[in-house]
Amino acid sequence: MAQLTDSWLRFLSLAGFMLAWQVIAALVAEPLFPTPLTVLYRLWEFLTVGQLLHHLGITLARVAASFAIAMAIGAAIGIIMGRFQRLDATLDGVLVLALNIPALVTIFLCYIWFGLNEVAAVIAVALNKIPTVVVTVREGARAVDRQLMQVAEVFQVSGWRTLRQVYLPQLYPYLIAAARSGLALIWKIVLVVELLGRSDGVGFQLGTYFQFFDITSILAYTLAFAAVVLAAEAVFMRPLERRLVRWRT
Amino acid sequence: MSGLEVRVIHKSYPGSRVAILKDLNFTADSGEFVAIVGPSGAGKSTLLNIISGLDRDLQGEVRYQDRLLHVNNAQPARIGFIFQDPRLMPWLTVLENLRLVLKAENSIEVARHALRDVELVDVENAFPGQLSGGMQRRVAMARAFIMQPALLLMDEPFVSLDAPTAARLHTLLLKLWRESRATVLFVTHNLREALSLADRVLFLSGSPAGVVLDMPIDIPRPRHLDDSAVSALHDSIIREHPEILSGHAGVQAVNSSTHGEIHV
Repeated sequence: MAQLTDSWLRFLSLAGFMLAWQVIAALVAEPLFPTPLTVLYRLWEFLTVGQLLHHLGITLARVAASFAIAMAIGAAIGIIMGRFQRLDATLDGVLVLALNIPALVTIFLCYIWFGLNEVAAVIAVALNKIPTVVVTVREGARAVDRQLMQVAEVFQVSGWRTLRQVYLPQLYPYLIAAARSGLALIWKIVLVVELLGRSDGVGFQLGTYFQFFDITSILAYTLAFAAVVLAAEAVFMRPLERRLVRWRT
Repeated sequence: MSGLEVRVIHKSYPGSRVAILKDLNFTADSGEFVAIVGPSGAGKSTLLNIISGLDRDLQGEVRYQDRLLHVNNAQPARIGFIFQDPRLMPWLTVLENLRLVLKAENSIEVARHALRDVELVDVENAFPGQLSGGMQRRVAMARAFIMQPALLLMDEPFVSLDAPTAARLHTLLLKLWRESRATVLFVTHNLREALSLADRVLFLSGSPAGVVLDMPIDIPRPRHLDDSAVSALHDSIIREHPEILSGHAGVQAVNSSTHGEIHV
């Protein structure tokens, strides 16, 4: 019952937002502020005859690649820093620096050093995300329960099993938090990377429409993009989270 | 042939020169149930950590059946440990918690069998957080016995349980111990509990801890916490060694060989 109510609330808030948008746009009656219906119609055109799916697919692939790289490297560094106190102290300064370098600077540097290509784009996005993954996962690695690790040691549980059934479950909440905030950040940075140095993808398309002040097309792309984000959250993140923490009853 | 031989010459924590354990030596026969009683903070848990190999930073050695344990290349001994807290993995079901410590292919059947022994078959798919404290202890007990330990270490496993629950767990423990013939070291600060369970009781001094009194218990089993024989022995120990529970054996005990000095 609570499940249903939550989904309804989610739906109602979105519907309310759309309604408010429609009313305000109709009152303003101005080409630079299209109504949601106009935008939806444009979106339909893009989907049927335009290249929206192509660009959306390319952007998704970039998001997936940089997300996977950032999570893997960030989690590994975070675990090691959380585990070894002296290494943590050594690397902490670099980490704070990395956290505060503007995304734009990383993107420029990657494009200049590695060329205007796919590798540079993915690396630039991943580099922006890795430090925040490190910070979150390090917190988890510091909080690992030594008493449970002792259980595995005394009962001679193999290293692989200890990792999978004793160690990693303690990190799952932190990994999920890192993945959540990670996706949100990566979605945004990928578009900037595409705008600055790629000739396809949602970011590139938005840049093009911006040249023509084509607000309706920009919003149509934004809408498609938002739909994908919401779907990824509902189909992927929430079920995963529910599965991993189902013991917390 | 002796089962377990513990010789701790000196144990202190890193960065401290104060000894926690000093000249603490004892042996336990194979299959013997030895209770270790001492004041809190005397290093009883440290002692178990040393015997289990969790703590290897000491001067001294642990042997089991004449083989040195916890040194490089030493064959791992089968040691079971029941901790003060149940220390179950909260994200694993009861059954998975047991299978975690098993290597065998048929671990499901073995684990189910162990759950039958502690009367928990119907909660095998529950998570530890859904069980009562007493049930969690039973799972922890099943986990310790399931790998057929040669040596079973128990660190005040029944504190903070109500009396009837503790009594049930005592009976269960003795049953599983008799079937397994494991050598048991049972740490407690509760003298009555020690007297009702053990073949022998070792009394530890306060810090640095050593053995101040080594006493066989000849009361026939089954015994209970409130049996008159247990009470009588308890009272006579307290009478003869008034400060034994704070770690002092008293004059008589220190001067003579204390082995088996007191009987009821």
